Amino acid sequence: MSAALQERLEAVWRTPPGLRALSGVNHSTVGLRFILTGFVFFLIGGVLAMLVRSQLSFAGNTLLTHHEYNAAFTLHGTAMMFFFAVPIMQGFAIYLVPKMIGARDLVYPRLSAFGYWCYLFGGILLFSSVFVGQPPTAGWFMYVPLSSRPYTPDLGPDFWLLGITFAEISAVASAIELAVAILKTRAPGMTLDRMPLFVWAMLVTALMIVFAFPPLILGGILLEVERAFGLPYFDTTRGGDALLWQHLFWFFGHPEVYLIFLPATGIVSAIVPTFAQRPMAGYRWIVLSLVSTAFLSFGLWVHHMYATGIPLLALSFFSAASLAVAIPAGIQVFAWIATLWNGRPVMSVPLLYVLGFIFIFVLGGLTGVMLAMVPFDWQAHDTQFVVAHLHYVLFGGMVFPLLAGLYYWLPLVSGRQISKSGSRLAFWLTFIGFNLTFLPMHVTGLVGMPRRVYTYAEGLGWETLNLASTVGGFLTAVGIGAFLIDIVLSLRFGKPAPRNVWGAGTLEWSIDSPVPSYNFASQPVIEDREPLWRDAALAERTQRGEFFLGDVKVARREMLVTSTRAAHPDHVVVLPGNTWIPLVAAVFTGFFFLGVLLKTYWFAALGLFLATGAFVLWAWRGGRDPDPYAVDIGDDRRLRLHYANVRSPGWWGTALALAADATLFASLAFAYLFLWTVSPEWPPAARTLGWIGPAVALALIAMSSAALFLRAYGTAIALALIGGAVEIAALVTTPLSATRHAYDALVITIWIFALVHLAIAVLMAAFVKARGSNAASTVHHRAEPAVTALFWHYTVAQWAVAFVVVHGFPPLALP
Amino acid sequence: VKLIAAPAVWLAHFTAVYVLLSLACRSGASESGTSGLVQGGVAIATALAVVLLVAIGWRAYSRSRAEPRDTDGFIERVTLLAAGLSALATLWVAYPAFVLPACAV
Repeated sequence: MSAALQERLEAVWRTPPGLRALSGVNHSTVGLRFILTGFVFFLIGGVLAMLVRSQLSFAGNTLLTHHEYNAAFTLHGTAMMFFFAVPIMQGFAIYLVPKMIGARDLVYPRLSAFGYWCYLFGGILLFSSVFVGQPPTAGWFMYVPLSSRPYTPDLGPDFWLLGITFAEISAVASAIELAVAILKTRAPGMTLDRMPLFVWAMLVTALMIVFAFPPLILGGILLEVERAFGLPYFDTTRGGDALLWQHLFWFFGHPEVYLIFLPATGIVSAIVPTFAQRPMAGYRWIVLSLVSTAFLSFGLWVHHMYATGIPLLALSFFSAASLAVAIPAGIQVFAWIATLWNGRPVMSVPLLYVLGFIFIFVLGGLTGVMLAMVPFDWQAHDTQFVVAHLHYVLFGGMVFPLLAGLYYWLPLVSGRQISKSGSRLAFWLTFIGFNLTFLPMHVTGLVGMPRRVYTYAEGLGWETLNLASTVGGFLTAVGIGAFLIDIVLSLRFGKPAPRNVWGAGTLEWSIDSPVPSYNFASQPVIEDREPLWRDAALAERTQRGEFFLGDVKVARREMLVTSTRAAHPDHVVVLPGNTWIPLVAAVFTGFFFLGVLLKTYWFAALGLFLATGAFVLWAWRGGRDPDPYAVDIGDDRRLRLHYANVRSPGWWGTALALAADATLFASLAFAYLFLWTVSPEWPPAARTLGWIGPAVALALIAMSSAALFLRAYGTAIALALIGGAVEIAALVTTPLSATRHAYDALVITIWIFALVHLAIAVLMAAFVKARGSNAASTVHHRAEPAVTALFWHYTVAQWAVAFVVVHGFPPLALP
Repeated sequence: VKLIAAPAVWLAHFTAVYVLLSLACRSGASESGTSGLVQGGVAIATALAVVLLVAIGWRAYSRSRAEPRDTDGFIERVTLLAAGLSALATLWVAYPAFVLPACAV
């Protein structure tokens, strides 16, 4: 019985071998790809770091030229932040979250695959800049005006902006997917307070990404448009402002730090209780800490801009928030210590790395508190002290937990135990090397060495310190090398690992290793935070198919969708199987980015058109199986399939995507309002926008919403098209010139933004009409009309806000 | 959703005082006039936020006492803690408005 079931499930869920594996969409496959690729970028970033350190070892060193040095530190930062830290943590989550919450896969398998390809192609695009000799050199935060066309005329910033934006698609996509998966597909009985803390951390992180990445995406788009077409968003001489870039960048950039760090704390909170053999102390406090860190992190961004001439009182607000964030961070550290204190810690390798993390991270946190003080920051700003601080926080706060996590979960993936001595050697090399690199660097900064200088003169007292840092840097590299060798050796020669090798309590360890592609032969019922400690037979019973969806006749990928808080089974989602569409769609999207980079816009348009076609095909192939419309899930219960539900997973995902989109739009509105407050003339003289045409357009568009509500799809589409045409006519007849002034540029940008949304809404409605699922009688296909209606009404609301922003400010504002 | 109410109040308060200050300093009024405006505005916003947070905390507390066996008690208790932390952070952020001049750079 159970063997037949497992064979059947494997046939339905597996990723095919050979080249066809590229069509695989299973979360284990995609998650491992993310982790592996992320690690490769880590090594690339590491090599760049060694170049930087080598150049700085002696005063007046000539190993690298000025330009090469700039490229090395820019690419080092970019690789580590955008192509290593965020994606590899998402890889961990994509791989682990379904296993921890008792699910068989994530909710949008094709989207995870698409996200992976975008990430990979974005990285390749960025690093190909090295091979054409035009790498980005303006630092990982790409400040304007240095990165604008007059000061960097080569393609470096374009490579950066397009590569990052391409890869960003993947970050937002997997964040949405993880959030919906965690909220809607937990195993029955896994209420919110029974979720593993790693899952909590990922939920919070995913929601942060939804709100943090759009400002950067917007900034990237605006800067690329400024560079390519001369629209002056950041050009002070034409009504723009360079500080706008800093605001947009750091509004993303500070939460970014926490969305790297929070998953790492999740890893630590998974490892500590296992080796203390005690449940985590202060579960509630840790959840509190995660949630409040997420919020506070959005009030910190100006602490990167203390030196930009913002009023002191405003800086004090941000200083206070920056200090306050130490409270939740401290709560977590004390909770870990308390757990270890209570238990009988087993000093195994993952725990060793965790202790290294706690030591380094606490030091980094303390220098963070120092830098949060405005007067101290003014002294240390742009010195090596900041470099030391940020490496303590990020290397200590993220890389050590990452290595701990890799060792901890490796037996689950490979079915082999890790080594006893090699892993410890790697730890001590990395730990000592790291501290030798960055502890002296605090002093280097305090005695005055600025960051980002490619060389320095003799006799300033910086030589010994720099040499020590370089030696430490190479020691760290040796440590990472030892880690790699150790991993390869244990994969090849490690002893076979039994199931649940560490005696952990969370659900992922109930799975046999190596992991079967369907994770769970039946979806278990959860009654506890550490289900494996409570019921030793749970793993056996799950794999025998005693719980939900253990039907041996299964022929497609099925999974339970449960309610958000209490996790009661609600309906069954049918997941798509392996398909080439995500890869194809990502390649076409890549054509678009490549076309923009090379300024061959017909090619970009072609890529956009083909990608849109691929997405339509994607949607057409999904969510439509014939009868039966309900399935037995076991335990004498029968549930409907997801496409008969108004609140399908697709609806939740769309809602979150729209939250991200609303943030993007809010950033655009912020850009408009910000420039209004700083620009001497807004709008510039002799610019009057007529409001009658746009008002008519708005009225038509608003009516289309009503038509859609009445399910008159044809009428709604017609109204929207006419409304859009009226707005375009109004814009064309207004004396605006996009390149003359930032005001003109932003008005046009806002309306193009709104029109693009309208076009997508029309496309979706046409899709639903073509499928015939708009008729009220088709009760079995309520998901697609619900998603379309959500998008449509949102678009109309956004249109109305755009109208108010453009026509309401400044005429309504005070003089 | 309840869980994020308290930190959301903090974030709203934070945004409100920052926007108020930025606009006040752009208005071109005299330093003493702006300081009064900013301090008054911050005081009102802070009072409002703290009242809201106390209300959120009190509601969560009484609910968690009412149904101690229910699993939903978890959400209520975390909400209570979040309200406390958010109130602390709100007061802390508002404090500099009363010791520093408004628009000095």
